[in-house]
Amino acid sequence: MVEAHRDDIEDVDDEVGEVEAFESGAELVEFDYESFLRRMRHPSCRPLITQLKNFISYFQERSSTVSVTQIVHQYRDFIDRLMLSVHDNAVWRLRGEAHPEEWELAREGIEYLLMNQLYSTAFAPKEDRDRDQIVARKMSLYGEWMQARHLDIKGPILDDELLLDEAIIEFRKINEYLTPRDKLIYLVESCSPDASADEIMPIQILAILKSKVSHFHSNLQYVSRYRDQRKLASDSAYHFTSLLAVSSFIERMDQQSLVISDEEFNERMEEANRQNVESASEFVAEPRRSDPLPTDRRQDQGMSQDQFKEEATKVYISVKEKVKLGASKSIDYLGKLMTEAEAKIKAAISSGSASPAQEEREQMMRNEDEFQLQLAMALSLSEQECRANNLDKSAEKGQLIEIQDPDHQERDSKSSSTEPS
Amino acid sequence: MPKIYQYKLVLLGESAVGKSSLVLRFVKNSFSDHQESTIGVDKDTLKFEIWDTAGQERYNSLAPMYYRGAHAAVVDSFERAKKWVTELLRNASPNIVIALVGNKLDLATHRQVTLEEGQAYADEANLLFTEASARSGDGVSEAFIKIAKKLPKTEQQMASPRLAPDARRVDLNRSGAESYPTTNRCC
Repeated sequence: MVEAHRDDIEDVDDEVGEVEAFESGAELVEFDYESFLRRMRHPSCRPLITQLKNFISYFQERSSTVSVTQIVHQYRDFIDRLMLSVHDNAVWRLRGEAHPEEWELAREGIEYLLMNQLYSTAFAPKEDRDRDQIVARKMSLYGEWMQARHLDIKGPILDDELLLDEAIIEFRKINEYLTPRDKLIYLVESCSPDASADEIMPIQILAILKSKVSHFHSNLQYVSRYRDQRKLASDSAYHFTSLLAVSSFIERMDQQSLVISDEEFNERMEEANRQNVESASEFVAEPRRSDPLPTDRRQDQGMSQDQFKEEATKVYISVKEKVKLGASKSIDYLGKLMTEAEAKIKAAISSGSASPAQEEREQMMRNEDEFQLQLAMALSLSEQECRANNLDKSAEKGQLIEIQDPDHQERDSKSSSTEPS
Repeated sequence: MPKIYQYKLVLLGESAVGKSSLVLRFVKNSFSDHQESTIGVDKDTLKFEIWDTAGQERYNSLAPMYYRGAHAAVVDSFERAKKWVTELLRNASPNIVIALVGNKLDLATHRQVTLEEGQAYADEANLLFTEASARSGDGVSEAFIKIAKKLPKTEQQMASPRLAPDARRVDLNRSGAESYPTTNRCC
């Protein structure tokens, strides 16, 4: 049976060669998520997908009740165990032979898929947000006025303002990436060029302070917990360690950390405190938001209620279309996401203030992303199901979609208690 | 058959003393941000991953994050050597090879610690001791060869191919509970 699909697999192999993959100097094998998903659609990968889905549900349910350390341990353990199944799967072999390079791709793909799904659950748990708040506070106190001389920078980099500006801009983008893989690649690329640590360390501190990037600590923790530990090696490990050091330094930053006179320090603090009182909401309120996730800076920040409604409706309809295409096996999970999204849209629309709407809209966007990914998995199943069992689109499915229609207001009150079976 | 071993080497010392330029001399090409360099000892090849640290005293408290797991340390400062050695013996890997490297020619005119004093301290603390000049390159390779000879050539240090040939074995043996350093651990 596996033999019969050999041509398919080889076709996929040919395609992979043409796909331009992510750039990373540290890698031999190019990773391409699309090609990973393509392979996962092979019928023999169905048990893998089931395991992935089960783990995603498990993680989402358990993460609130067990410690971060425990859940991370379980996450790594799960991937290790899943890799054993991958090793036995013909899709990830080359003409039946062991194929470690393919296994690496599979491992990357599994991490990518999992963390895309689990980002909103795994990113910035309470303990990280507390530390984020400390770092954010230091950024607000020191970021505006800090100069290279305060950090004991020696050497030619001192005069290179362009370099600093670039670093600031780069660090601000970290929250645009969702997976540990992308975040790590991005962080390492943001690191300073050829120079000794005597110069790199202060310039990084300066850049991060001035970037005022949110959730800096959380980002580092997220990567160190969920990135394949073997990929945190060599260059990546060095740069990543530097950033951990920078974060730690900023967290404990006080007058003693700096080259500064008492007089100047007091003056700067006074000024910074005055400014912070004026823009208090920006720094005090931010970590207390119910939604701990950073915003996507590429999105337009301002949006009226009407625009939001229109946008939300569009998203809702597109989601609904996708659910119609979805497979019966995933329908419960999709349904749960759907009802959550629905509840949020309604809550946001009925709310008058602009800022919750903004938050809800962001949540919507994330849910949309989750749908897209869940869908990739769901579609693979539906295709297989239809082919193998000649299943008609089940009546049950139609019913579910009917129930989720926005016109059915009565489900609103029950939606929060809906659980996937 | 020649073997390849891999080590992490951390540089500690004051800035401006020449810590970084020592490496500049050791690594053939110009100084790039993170170094990896190889050295031949007998028939084997030793690969060094060189971790540079910021030398300014205000950043000293961050050093543990860098020397964690290091197999060797180069301390480039007679004045602060005792402080670093004490700290490394307390916090770093138990078998860390520590080398005290003085800048011979650069400091010849105004050296505060004499060659004899340096040697005596190194003997007492069981450190490798060399004098090298970053400017001329004299003695730099020798310093690294001394370190290379003292490092253990165990199977654990064998450079693993980037992709484990038998990933299954690697997966099962990995200790799941151990994680990459978190900032909690620092200092």
